[in-house]
Amino acid sequence: MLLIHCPYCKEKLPELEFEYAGQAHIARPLNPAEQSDAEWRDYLFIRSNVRGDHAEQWRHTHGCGRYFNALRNTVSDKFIATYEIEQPRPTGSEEGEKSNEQLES
Amino acid sequence: MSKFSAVSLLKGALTGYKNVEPQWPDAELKSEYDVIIVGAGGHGLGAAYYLAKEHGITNVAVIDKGWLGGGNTGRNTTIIRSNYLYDESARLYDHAVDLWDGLSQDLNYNVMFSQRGVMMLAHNVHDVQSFKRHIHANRLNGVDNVWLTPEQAKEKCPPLNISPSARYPVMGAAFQQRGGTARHDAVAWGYARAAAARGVDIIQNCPVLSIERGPEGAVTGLQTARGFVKAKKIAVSAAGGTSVVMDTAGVRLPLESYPLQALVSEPVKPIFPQVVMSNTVHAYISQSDKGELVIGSGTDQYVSYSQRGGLPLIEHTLAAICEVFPIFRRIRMLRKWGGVVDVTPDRSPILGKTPVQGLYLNCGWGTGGFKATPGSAHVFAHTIAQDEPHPINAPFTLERFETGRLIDEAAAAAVAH
Amino acid sequence: MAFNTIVETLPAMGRFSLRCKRENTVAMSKALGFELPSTISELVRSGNVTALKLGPDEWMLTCPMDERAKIKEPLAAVYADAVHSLTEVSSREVSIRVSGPEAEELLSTSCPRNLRELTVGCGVRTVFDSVQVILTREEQNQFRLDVWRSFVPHVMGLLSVATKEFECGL
Ligand SMILES: Cc1cc2nc3c(=O)[nH]c(=O)nc-3n(C[C@H](O)[C@H](O)[C@H](O)COP(=O)(O)OP(=O)(O)OC[C@H]3O[C@@H](n4cnc5c(N)ncnc54)[C@H](O)[C@@H]3O)c2cc1C
Ligand SMILES: [Zn+2]
Repeated sequence: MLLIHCPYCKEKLPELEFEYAGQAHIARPLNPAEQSDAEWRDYLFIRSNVRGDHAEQWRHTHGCGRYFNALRNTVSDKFIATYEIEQPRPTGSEEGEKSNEQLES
Repeated sequence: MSKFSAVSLLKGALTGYKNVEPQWPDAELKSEYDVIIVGAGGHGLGAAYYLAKEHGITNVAVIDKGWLGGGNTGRNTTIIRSNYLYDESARLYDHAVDLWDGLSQDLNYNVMFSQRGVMMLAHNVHDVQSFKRHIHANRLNGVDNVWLTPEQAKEKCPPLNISPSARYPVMGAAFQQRGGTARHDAVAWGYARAAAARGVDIIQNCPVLSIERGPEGAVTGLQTARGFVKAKKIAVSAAGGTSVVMDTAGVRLPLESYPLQALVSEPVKPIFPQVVMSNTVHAYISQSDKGELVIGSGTDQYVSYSQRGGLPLIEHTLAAICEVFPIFRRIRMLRKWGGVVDVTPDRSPILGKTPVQGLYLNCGWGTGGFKATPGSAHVFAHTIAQDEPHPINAPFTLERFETGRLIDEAAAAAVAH
Repeated sequence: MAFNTIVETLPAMGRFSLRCKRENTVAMSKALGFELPSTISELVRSGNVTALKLGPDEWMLTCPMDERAKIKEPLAAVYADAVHSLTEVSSREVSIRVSGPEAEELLSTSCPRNLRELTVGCGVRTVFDSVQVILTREEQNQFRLDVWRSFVPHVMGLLSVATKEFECGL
């Protein structure tokens, strides 16, 4: 079971209290009607699915109730950082590392 | 390669199988191929087989970073069925069931396809309505699927508890007799053997590092752990690893890779005749020919390439099994494992061409692509050979996420297997 | 083996869910006559009224059934200046008290938290089996579970099975 540090409760707690909520830092376009179909597809469906450090949202559903962000390595499942929802990604670009962690492992 | 037959098996048995020949050579990577398939799972190996058999294209390599069949093909719970709701899916999955039917003969390799039937339990009014809707839709598409009363369900599956006072009462079931299971490793091995016999190179333990494109944008070849190899066409069939490979060609995908786990119990005497799925309680179970109960449910909640998954999901799965089949409460579990499944937003696969010339894609099978292996491989080979989708996979484009023509089995079924 | 940990349901009590922005907590505290706790899991008691901080902007207030006006009225009086949401949930939950030397171990059978880290006088929202609960450590060997009413039979059932297992030394 993952142990997740909630930045609001300031405690490391069991995964069972949390819900995963998808890739982080995907802003909804302010005016959807102005989007091209391709842009709207990117917003709705395209995900980095990175093999490496992944910025993602979690919700401490059965705790403080808050959404927050986490940077987690998707190969080791280790959390590198968790941070409040308004804060920027701690390292790298919003998109994730451009170079996926090497394929051999 | 010598053929398997009743005589050859008997001879082998009497002589203790001393001189078994390798079923496929571990090929050397050549410098150039007409087609390279990335991923030696059932889908990739099958596509190579049909390319050789039906399209006469034999200068083909199938490259895998690990051992053949070591991905989801060798990790799944082998449920086969085709009772999907939408016309497009029904055609695709039923094409597969048609091919499963004669596959052992076609490959001269026993894939142990067992049409023991798949039963999906209805526990509430919503289940009843939605399963009946599936049954009607399936019938219109010529896919067998019938409604069973609780009594009829119990007659087929005696361990079922149909007491109306059960916590999750069985209000009936949808039953597809042509569904069942097959031996997953044998599917990979059978395709590998039959493809190799027709000249396909199978390259194991060779990670593909990137897809290379020429100045016009078309593919030129692959960078691999064993160096560069030229290819006229590249077909990616890499399941959970697809996003990573395709990213190197500049194609970003609507995919997320999740761990999906399964587990088996200690072997017991034959007790469980069908595959039984309960979407509402959320688990499914069947018994392998070895006697183990094969159990699974949904994915872990977070994206991951760990091929592991967490214990909470296993606990949830077993709780569900005990709820539906209290007789299994004291059975011991032997082992559990995980695979990495590539999930699309509409839970239907992406099977066709890509915006890059010479690059073909078969992915997004998520939690349920084993059942489709022969059908998918067959139409994928057609797509690669003709540079044009087969009518059956024509709707499963990558463009549907832009046009909005989704094939939304996610909303229709919402359960893994 | 002697196992004298007691599981019992408590009489009904007044319960209120309070949500308000940080800038309004001063006014709310003044109206209530005591300081609302400021860190998550902190529990404050003033007379018969308790306030437990569950989330950044969320508190659970409790009091005896016949003193509910002590919470409702003063907060209603400041509503115009300190906007908040106060929802009475008295009938939504039932409290279960677990007390005795093995209380912590008994609860650990279904709660994934490390209960050793829950200090006396603190409370948290967490899960018990699959049920969301509020768990308060009232004393070293005494806990209270606030459980939504319809889940009570499930939670009590699990606790009684676990009790039997402890009693026969499993
Ligand atoms: C636990 C579990 C239970 C399942 N149960 C069922 C079920 O009951 N019924 C059902 O129909 N489906 C089920 N599935 C889904 C099914 O297993 C898959 O959809 C199907 O096997 C996919 O086959 P494939 O050939 O596309 O992928 P795989 O067999 O995963 O093959 C892909 C291959 O690509 C290789 N690869 C990836 N990246 C690279 C790279 N960069 N270079 C070289 N090679 C690479 C991998 O090593 C792998 O061997 C289950 C899956 C799991 C994990
Ligand atoms: Zn929290």
